[in-house]
Amino acid sequence: MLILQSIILGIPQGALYGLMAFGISLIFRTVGVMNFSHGNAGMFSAFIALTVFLLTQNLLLAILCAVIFGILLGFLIEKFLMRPVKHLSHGGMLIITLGILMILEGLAQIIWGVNPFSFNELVSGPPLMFTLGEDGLLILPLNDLLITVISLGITILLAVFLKVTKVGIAIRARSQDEVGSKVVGINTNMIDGLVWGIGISLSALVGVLIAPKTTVTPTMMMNMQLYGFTAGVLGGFTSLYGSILGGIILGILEKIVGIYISPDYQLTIILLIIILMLAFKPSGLFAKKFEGRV
Amino acid sequence: MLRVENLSVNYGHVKAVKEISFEIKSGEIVSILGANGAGKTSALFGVSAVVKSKGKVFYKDKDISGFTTYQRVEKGIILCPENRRVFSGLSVEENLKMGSYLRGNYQKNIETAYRMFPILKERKKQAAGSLSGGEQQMLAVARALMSDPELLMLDEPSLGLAPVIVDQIFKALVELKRSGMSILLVEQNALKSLKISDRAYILETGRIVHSDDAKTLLNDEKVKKSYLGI
Repeated sequence: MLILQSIILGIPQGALYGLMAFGISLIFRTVGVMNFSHGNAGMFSAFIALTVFLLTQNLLLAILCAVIFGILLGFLIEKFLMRPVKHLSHGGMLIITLGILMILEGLAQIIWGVNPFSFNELVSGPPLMFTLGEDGLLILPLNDLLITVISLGITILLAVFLKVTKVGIAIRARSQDEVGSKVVGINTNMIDGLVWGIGISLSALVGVLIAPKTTVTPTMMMNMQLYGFTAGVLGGFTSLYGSILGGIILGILEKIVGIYISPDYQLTIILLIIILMLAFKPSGLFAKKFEGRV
Repeated sequence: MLRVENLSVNYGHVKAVKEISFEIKSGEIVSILGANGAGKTSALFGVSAVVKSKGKVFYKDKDISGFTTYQRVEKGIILCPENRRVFSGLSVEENLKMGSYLRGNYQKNIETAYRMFPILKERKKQAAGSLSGGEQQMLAVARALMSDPELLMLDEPSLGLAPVIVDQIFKALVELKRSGMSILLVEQNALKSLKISDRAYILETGRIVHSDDAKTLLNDEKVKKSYLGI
């Protein structure tokens, strides 16, 4: 029973890891840079949501503002920070994302301080309960259910967008061959901006969805960044659904370790998974055969 | 149709193309010949703005030097790049769809493409990366044609292909010329390309050293010896 309960609690958490991983891997596949500032971009967006909420008391508007801010932030990062160094080196881009990570954290501290703010859940109310057998009781919080539905819905939506729309195919084309995509007339700068926008807006969404649990602080997304990256490694950066599945597996595993071993070991296990995956199956569990960066 | 003046392409300190000038008139096939490393590919990249270049490019007497690659594609200047550059993880059909990303009538052109290279129709659902080299080259040419080029630039379309397929591609080029397309051809296979060209330029270490009618060049002793191997 305990194991079922940990799975049920792990799925919503994992769905958020998956959403995080989806953004990180979308940017990685297309532009070729591991975005270390991903989590903090989401953190900053969560602060935007908090501010809008405190001003208007409208939660939906606040979330919408955070997502839109995320898209804008992504565009700006690409246009002013990534584009100038794009053809110099990937290492340079990586260092810049580290810089953005620190700048966003510092800015958040200056503007909003280090004290945690609480943030509302999407829905409140008594959790769903199921009785199973003699004294089995499963608890499913409503908010968790909604988070799972939103995460899976958005993943499927994005996967369909990448699969069938002209712009979606262009994103995949650009991730496979930059010169090839240029000569067919794809505006690669625009595509890169779009990918950064989508990626960061996903992190913004994760930020506002996890905020009720973590509270809103400048370091709220530190774990998310790490777990999102691990979910990506686990699922494989090459597969559309791999990141979300990797995320869910990771979420469940985390809860199981927390319940059966000790919460102290959760992070250790995550880091172990990264090392083991990179050593034995670097392409990830759900990777298609390696085709360039995609 | 296309006039290039003093085009230079540099990669850091390496000067790949040094102030070359050439032109292509409407409806012509023009070849650029030269050994490996002479700067042929860089010259085409310069014309397409895939890499940064100095100098002026005029298209239909309009200065397009400041145009980006996609703006030039919009005008009908299409490059079919060296090494095919097909999107290996995308299906053949998706590759062709990307060909008409900016211009060209997809429905009409896909029929033409499949008629010209029937094997592509058989493989339309297959990932481009799983095609043979020859099929990938056909796909690259078909993809370039999807955008209704006015000026088609081909970089080594016969590289690594079986002679039968090379013939097939050259036949397609002659057909395209007949339909009114202008073609700029870069080829290792100098004899074959001179045979279908109107004029040719010879590039040596980034400079144009010679240019003439294709027929004259075919009978030129020096050209014969250095480039045709006869």
